[in-house]
Amino acid sequence: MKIEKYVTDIAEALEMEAAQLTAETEYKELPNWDSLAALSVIAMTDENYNVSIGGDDIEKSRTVQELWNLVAQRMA
Amino acid sequence: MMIPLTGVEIRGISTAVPKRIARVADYTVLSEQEREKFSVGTGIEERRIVESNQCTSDLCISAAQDLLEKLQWDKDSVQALVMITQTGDHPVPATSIIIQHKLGLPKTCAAFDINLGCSSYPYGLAVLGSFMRTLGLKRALLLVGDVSSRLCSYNDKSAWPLFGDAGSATALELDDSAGAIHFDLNSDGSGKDAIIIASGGLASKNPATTENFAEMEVSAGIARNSSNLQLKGADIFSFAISAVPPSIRRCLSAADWNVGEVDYFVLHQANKMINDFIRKKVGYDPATALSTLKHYGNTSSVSIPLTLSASAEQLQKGGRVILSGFGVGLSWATCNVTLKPETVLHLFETENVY
Repeated sequence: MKIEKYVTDIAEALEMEAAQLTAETEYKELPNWDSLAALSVIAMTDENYNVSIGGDDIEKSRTVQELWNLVAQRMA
Repeated sequence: MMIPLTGVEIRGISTAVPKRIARVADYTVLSEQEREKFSVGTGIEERRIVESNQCTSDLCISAAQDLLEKLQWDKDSVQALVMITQTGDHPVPATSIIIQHKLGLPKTCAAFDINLGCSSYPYGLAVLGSFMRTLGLKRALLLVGDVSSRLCSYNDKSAWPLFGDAGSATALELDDSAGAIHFDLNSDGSGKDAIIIASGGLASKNPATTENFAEMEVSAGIARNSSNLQLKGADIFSFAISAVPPSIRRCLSAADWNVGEVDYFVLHQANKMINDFIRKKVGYDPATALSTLKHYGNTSSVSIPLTLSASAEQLQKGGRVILSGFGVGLSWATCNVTLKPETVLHLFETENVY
């Protein structure tokens, strides 16, 4: 599984164009980021990757890459 | 999976809500745009909240009186009363005992409280039902209620606009013809901080001090003191979507029911996103999912009986229901119930104080 797919999935969860997001995006700095956006990312990750991420994971990850690293680790 | 509870029938369910309405549209801590987004995401537009003189017991007594009257039960025939709440009238004594007296139930009635939140209803049916069966108590009342608006800081946007208040009463009676109720009961204290009142009252871990009662700004739009309820929405969401679907599946399998054989799924009402997600994962039809989030919000322990009462018309003929509660603790529980016709009474407003 590649990070490119996760970037696209996050963009979709946040109702953004995929081109607006990269692995280096600091997602919590996005103008449309809020507590409900966090729920969308958690739901998408559960649905598409069967991986559970919590509030702390969102808290400690800065970029999409950092969040993906956690997800990829839990998929292994 | 444990053996099912048999021989205990739900005779009636009644729910009372306060008259006062709190609308998300009037909540000034959120901007207009945030309010709209909040309502779309959570499904909550308004809640009922108590006036300062109304307590959990008042709502539950109203519901219980309504129920006893409709069932024409002699008060002396009630042998047990269990109250489940996290917002009792006093830290001590138990609210159930106060209610025994105020309702005029006999002194021979066993009464005690249980401290649970959103998972209350299946737990309550399990505890009281098996208590009745084992000790041969013919009739009992399960009261479930919370006034969570009293716990939340108005200045905490992560809690205040979610919660509503209500109280319900369920009448249980021993009856050999009753359908089997299968329970799936769970707990995980590693998630205790997800929903917590950290201090105050009788908290031994962090006793009330003047400092603890000072309101502090945690982040933008979140100001509260440590005796207020605080919740970590993302953690609860993550827990609910991973833990609840397997619990529902275990209960269905124990009851030998297919998803399609269930007339209604009644989940704890926390937020629309959670309930939609659980529905998709378990795979049931949206038409079988009952919801009361729009008008009543998250009513904690009482959300399941409230949702049943609010759907009294749909449930007039009875039917097969799956009830699943999940939240504070963490604690989660599911049960299956075959409701007899005209068991679910209405939802009504009350300003009564006893």
